[in-house]
Formats: sequence, structure tokens, C-alpha cells
Amino acid sequence: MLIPKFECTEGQTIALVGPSGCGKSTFLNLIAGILNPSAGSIYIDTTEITSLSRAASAAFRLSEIGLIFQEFELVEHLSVGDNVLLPSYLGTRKDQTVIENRARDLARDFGILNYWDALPESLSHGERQRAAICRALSARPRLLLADEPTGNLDPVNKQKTLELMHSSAKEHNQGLLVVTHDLELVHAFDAVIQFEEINQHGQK
Amino acid sequence: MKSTSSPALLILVTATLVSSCHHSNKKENLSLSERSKPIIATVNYPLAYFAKRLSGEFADILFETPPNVDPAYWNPTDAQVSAIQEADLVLLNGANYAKWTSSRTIPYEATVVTSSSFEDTFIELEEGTSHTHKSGSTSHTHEGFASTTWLDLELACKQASSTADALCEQFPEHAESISGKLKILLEEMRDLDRKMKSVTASLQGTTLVVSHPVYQYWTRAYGLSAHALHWEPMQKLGTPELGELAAIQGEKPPVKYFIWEGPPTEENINKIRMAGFINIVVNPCGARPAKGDFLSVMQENIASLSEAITAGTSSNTGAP
Amino acid sequence: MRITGIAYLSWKALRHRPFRSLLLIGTIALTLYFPRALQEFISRSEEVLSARARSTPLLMGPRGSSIDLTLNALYFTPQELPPLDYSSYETLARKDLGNTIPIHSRFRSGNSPIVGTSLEYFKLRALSINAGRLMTRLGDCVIGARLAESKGLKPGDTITSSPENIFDLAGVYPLRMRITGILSPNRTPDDHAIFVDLKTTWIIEGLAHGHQKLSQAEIMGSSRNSAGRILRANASVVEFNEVTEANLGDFHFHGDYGNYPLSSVILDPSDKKHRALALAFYQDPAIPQQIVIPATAVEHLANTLFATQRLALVAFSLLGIAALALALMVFLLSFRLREREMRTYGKIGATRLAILCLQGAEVTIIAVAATIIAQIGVTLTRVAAPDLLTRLIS
Repeated sequence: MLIPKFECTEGQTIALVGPSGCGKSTFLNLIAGILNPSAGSIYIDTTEITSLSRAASAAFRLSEIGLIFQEFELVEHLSVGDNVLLPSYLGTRKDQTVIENRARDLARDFGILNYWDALPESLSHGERQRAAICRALSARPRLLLADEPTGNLDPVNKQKTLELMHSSAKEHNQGLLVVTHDLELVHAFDAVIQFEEINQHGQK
Repeated sequence: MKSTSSPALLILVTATLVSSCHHSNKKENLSLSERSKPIIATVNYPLAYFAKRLSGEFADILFETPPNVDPAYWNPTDAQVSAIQEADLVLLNGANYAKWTSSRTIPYEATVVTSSSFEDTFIELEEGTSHTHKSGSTSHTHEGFASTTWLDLELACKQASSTADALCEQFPEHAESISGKLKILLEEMRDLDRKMKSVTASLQGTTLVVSHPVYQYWTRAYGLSAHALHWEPMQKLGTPELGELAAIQGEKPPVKYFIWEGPPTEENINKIRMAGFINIVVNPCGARPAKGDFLSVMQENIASLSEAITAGTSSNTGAP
Repeated sequence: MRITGIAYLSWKALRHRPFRSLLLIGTIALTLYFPRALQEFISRSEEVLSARARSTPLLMGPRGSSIDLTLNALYFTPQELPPLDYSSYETLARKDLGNTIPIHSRFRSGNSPIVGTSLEYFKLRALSINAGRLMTRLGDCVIGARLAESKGLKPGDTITSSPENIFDLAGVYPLRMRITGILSPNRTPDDHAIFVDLKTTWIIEGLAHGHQKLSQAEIMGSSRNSAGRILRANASVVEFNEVTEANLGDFHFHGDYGNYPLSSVILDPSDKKHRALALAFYQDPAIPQQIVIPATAVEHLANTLFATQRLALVAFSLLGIAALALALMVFLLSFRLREREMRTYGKIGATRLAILCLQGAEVTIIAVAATIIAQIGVTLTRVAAPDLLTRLIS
């Protein structure tokens, strides 16, 4: 994979489309700092995450980036509330009450507050993904990265999930980069980029 | 804070109460061991008298048998046994006297049998019932010994000496004083013994009638023989009793003297006199006397024997 | 990385699999508990045995195992040695070497030993009466605090001696005894025992008994022969199985007291000289009794216990290593099964250290819980050791 250039500004929503196996998820993991590029650099704001240590990169991801996955990746033995608050448990922030109140507001907005104390297994797919989005948003990240967030959802939930991500991105001026191969849903994004186009050539 | 401190305080107060109750309970138990004087328990009056004479003021004597009850057949209550258990020394008479001591729990270590030095001279009783339990077990007889040992004043001296030995061993700090007091007591008792021998000398070879079989050691010591009845001084003497008496009087040589354990009724005195006997009171003094002490009662016994013998002799000489 | 957050997540993970967590805690707790408890139990037992042995200066009994004799006198274990005769007690008492306290502990009531003794025993052991009073007559008993508590007995109640075997009713006299007092607890075998006058054990033994006077008219009428002099006591003569105020005077002993049995005699010498004299006297092999120093007998017993303890500790250590290895394997397997969950933590932003802390916290919580439980168990074992020892021995 070779990405000469790619940019996403604050509040911008970008849909990254392409066939399965073309490297979209790998690209997302590179931006998140989960994987390291063999060459080149990635900046988020002024931070060159490619130059950070593993621990610093993880800490940066925890505070600045919200990740949403196709398989939701909720922790099965934690309640919905604990899953939403997971970044705060893993982080260093001390204002836990403030964070929890905000997370509860978020859960109310996402319609999952009633399941706050329930385990994820008792939720529908759509509710689980909403919980996963809540978790990504609870730390107020500046960048939201979503890898096939609607892949396991029915059409109604797909639409709803995307709307929620969009509204949050707009409201909090977050960058939103969504990897998807569902072309029916991409019209709401500020930009739709064919991954094959930027691979080798870079973003125009 | 206030609400939590109250229960804590309550618990503290309760604990203090419980602990103080416990403490007072313990104190009650200790009261006997904290007493000022040692206690010497005895089973009869002669031993109580010896113990008092020998210990003087340093010990208290515990002898609870009421004056009107024969200590040989007395049964203490549980509370009385408990009191005896607290004694520093328990003096037994031996020779099966006070049978309650074999069925009650008394302190083994503190118990001294005052007659053990002469147990080979105990007089065996012939009354007894032989019986067998279950097949195979051996037959046995419930027999025993005559137990009024102290009426033989020599044996009484031995019992007094045993008492002194026991006291000296238990209270070695008083040994010197006890020995001194024993010497005086023995002198007094030996004097009485001499007097008893002298007064009974004229009765040698005669047979006496005694109201109860309690004079075995006395008759043996002073060479007398006696025909024992089971009469009480206060009992009303009817035809059967007088018939029994007449049968005895028919024996040869004639029996002249009737010995009572205690003063009989006027009526009984007259009936005995009418039957041809002379009334004599020889108080065995097993129980605490109403007046006087062991020595004075023995002195009275000697006097009453002497008086009766004088009366008997004059009636003999006066007779054709 | 928030320590409380990590601990919270670990706690949640452990709570999610309670059976596995409890099994791990239990396994580790037992692994830690057994060797420590064994050490504590043996050391406390040694203390308790020694203390009781030290408070029993000398013991006279039949020749044979000194440990059997000591355990019988101190812990009222079933009597293994032949009985002493009362005359040997009298012989010792007459020597005036010190206080002599007879012990006859052949009989039981259920599991509780019946100890025939004298009042001196209570003084020697500093036993005080908590309720009621000491026994005052044949058939009375004073019972230990734990026995009273476990059976709900109080002064005035009764307790019955057990026949030695159910077909031997004639041999051992089942006697219903009157409880006159309850002792204060003193954490020794005395707490479980029934104390009676030595003579009461002879009633149980069948050497003394009570029946109506054979000369009573109604019996004479029923069984006198033509001469009227020989009486045959028939079934109308009632054998008492209880001593009461009414029949107390009728209880009588048969044969020579000197031949009556007892188990042993405690001798509390008045001074060192008398102690030496007592020891010297019974050294003569012609004398059928022996004098035992309970403290020495207990020392021998303790040495055997310590040797056994060393063996047991080796066995426990091997078992412990195996159990800990198993526990470690359970943890590793569990973390492997939760790899996806750990990966999620990593993706979200947990550092490698945070994930290690998370796993370490789970192990620590299990280990701390197991240690606390093991320590509580060890403490309880130490506290319960005297009672446990009494139960095990007697």
C-alpha cells in the first residue's frame, strides 16, 4: 500500500469505499496508530503519531481518536454503561463523575440508557452498535474512525447509525472517516473516496 | 458520628455490666477461701470438742448436727455438705460412724479418720443381713462395727491425739500450742478414765440393761456386760416392753441397773423402778450437750453411776 | 492508567466467572492453608499438651506405656492399661509425699468421659463452678462448660452413663446422674468431661449398689423360708439406676475397698525432696506401679508429632506446587480465551502495561483473597486447636 497523501479536516466527514481486501481497514489502523507504516508519516493535528512510542501512541488514541468496529467489540462481561465508560477506565482522567454524566446523556441521545446496566448480549445488533458508538464518543475524540460500522446492521439501523455519527461529528467538530462498501449510504458524506484512487496516487 | 457513637457506648456499658456481674459472682465463690480462719469439720461432738480444745481460737469448728439428733444417723443437706467441702480438715470418727460420709462427697485429702490407730480393736456387730445379687456373685453381709468408740476414754485419748496430729500437720505453725493443749486435755481425760474405772469397779461381774446398743466400747473398757434394748428415754413403756424387762430380770445373776442415754420421763423412771431396776443416765455425748461440755458430761456420767451404785449397794445391804 | 479503573475491570472480569474465581481462590487458599494450619495446630497442640502436662506434676499408674497413661489421665482417652487398685492409691497417700488425686476414667456418657475423682482435682486444675455447686453425694456430677453448652444441660438436669456395650448391661451399671454444677470454661478436656465422686464410678462399675433393705417386712413376707432366717432377694428387690435422697442411705459397697479399681493417681509433691522420693520409690521393678512425669511423656509425644509434621509438610509442599501450577495454567488459559477482549482494550488505547496490570490485578485479587481466607483459617485453627486436640485424642 502506498498513500502519497491523505487529509481530513476538522468536522469533515469522509467515506472511504472499495472492495473487500483492498486495504481500507489497514489504512484506518495506520491512522489510529495501531499499525505503523514502513515509511512516511501521519499527523493528527500537529502530532506526528508515527513518531510516537507504542505507549504514547496508545495514550494518544485513547484521548483523541474514537474507534468504531464492524463487530462492535463490546466487552461481553461488562455492562453497557461500563463498555461506554471503558476509555475512561483505561485512561488517566480523574473527573469520573463528569465523564459518567456525559456518557449517560450520550446513551440517552442514542436510546440505550435503559440498557445501561444490562450486558451487551441482551441488546439487538443495532443497539450494540449504538453502544459501541457511544463508547467511541464518550472520550470526546477529535477524530472518529469507523470500520464498516453498518456491516452487521439492517437497513433501518444502518441509516440511524450513520446519522448518529454524522450529527456527533458536526456537533463536536470531529473529523469522521468511515470505511464502507455500502454505496447506498455514502451520499451523506462530505467526501466519498475510492480507496483504489488514493492508493498509489494519493488524495487529489 | 453521633448515631454511630451511641451503639458503641451502649455496648461498652453492657460489657462493663456483664463483666462486673461476673466479677461479683467470682467474689462470692472466693468468699469462703478468703475467710479469716481455717475451718475444721467434725462428724460428732466429742471430735468437735477435741478440735476446739486443741485449736483454741485459730480455727472455727463446723459441726452442724442439731443437738436433738444423733450424729451417727444424721443426714446433712446438700448445702451442709457444700460447707463441709470447704473445710481445711474433716475429722471422721471411723468404725462406720456417720454413714453419710460414705455416700457424700467430702474432700479425701483433708479427711482424717481419728480411730485408724486402733481399728484392729473395733467391735464387730453381729446383726446383719446376708444377700446375693444375680447368679454367680458372692453372698455378702451388711455388717459393721460398733462406733461409740470415745466412751472408752482411753480410745477417746487416742482420738484426741490423732486430732492433734492432724491439726499439727495441717497447721504446722500452731504445732507447739496444739501439743501443749493436747497434754492438758489428755491429763483431764485420763483422770476421768481413772475415775470411771474406779466407779465401775464395783459393777464387775454384773449385767446391765442399756436402752440402746451404743455402750459396747464402754462395757468392754470397764469390764462390764450389758443387755441392749432399742428404747428411747421418752418412749411410752407398755406391756410388751415391761414383759421384755421382766424376762431379763429373771436371768441369773439378777440385773439391777438400767442405763439410759438421756434423762427419761418421770413415768419411765417409775416404771423401771417398779420393775426392780435402778435408773442411771450415761450420756454417750455424741451430740452437743444442752449444757456443759464433753468432760463435764463424762463427769456427770461418773457421778450418776456412783450415785446409783451407792443406792444399789444400800438396797442390797438393807435386803434380807 | 487509572489504578481504580483497572482494578474495577479486573473485579468485573472475576465476578463474571464466579465459579472459576471461587475455585481458584479455594484451591490457592487450601494450598496455603494446609501447611500453615498443620504447623499452627501442632505448635499450639504442643503448647496446650505441655501446659496441661506441666500442671500435672507426677502420675502414678500401672506399668505400661507412659504416653497411654498420661493421655488417659490428662485427656481421658479410653483406658488402654489395666486398672490400678485403690490400695495402691492408699499406699501412695500414706507416704505423705504431697497431694494425691485419684482418677478413674473408664466410663463414658455418649462421647463424654466420666471422670471419678476427688474434690482436690478441681483445685489442682483451678476449675471454678460457673453455675450450681460441686457434687455432694453419690450419683452427683459436675460437667464441663462445653458439654453443658452443646447438650443444653444445666444444674438439676440428669445425664446417664453408657453401658460399655449394649449386651453388657449387667457389667456396667447405667447410672442416671444428677448434674449439680457447670464448670467455667478453661479450654481443656475438662470442658467436655463429667466429673463424679470416685465412689460413683464404682457404682457404675457394679461394685456398689442400692436396694431396699432386705429386712423390710414386705420382702421378708414374700421370700422367707420356713425358718424365716435366710432371705432370698427376688425381683421385688429393686436395683436403682439413680441415686436419690430417698435411696442414698441404701447404697452400699461390697468387698474390700482396697481391690476397687481406678485408672491413675495424680501426685502433686509437696516439695522437690518428696518428688525425688516418689520417683525413687517407684523405680523398684518389683512394684507393679510406675511413676510418670507427664511433661516428659508429652515431650516424647510432641517429638513424634514434629517428625510426622515434617513428613506432612513435604507432602503438602509437593501438592502445593502442583496446585499452584494448575492455578497458573487456569489463568493462562483464561487470558488466552480472552485475547479478543484484550485486543479490544489495545485498540481503544490501553497500553501493553495497562493490559498486563489488568491481568496482574486479577491474579492479585485471587491471591490476596486466597491468602486472607487461608490466614483466617489458620487463625481459627489456632484458636480451635485445644478443642480439636481434645476431640482428636479423646
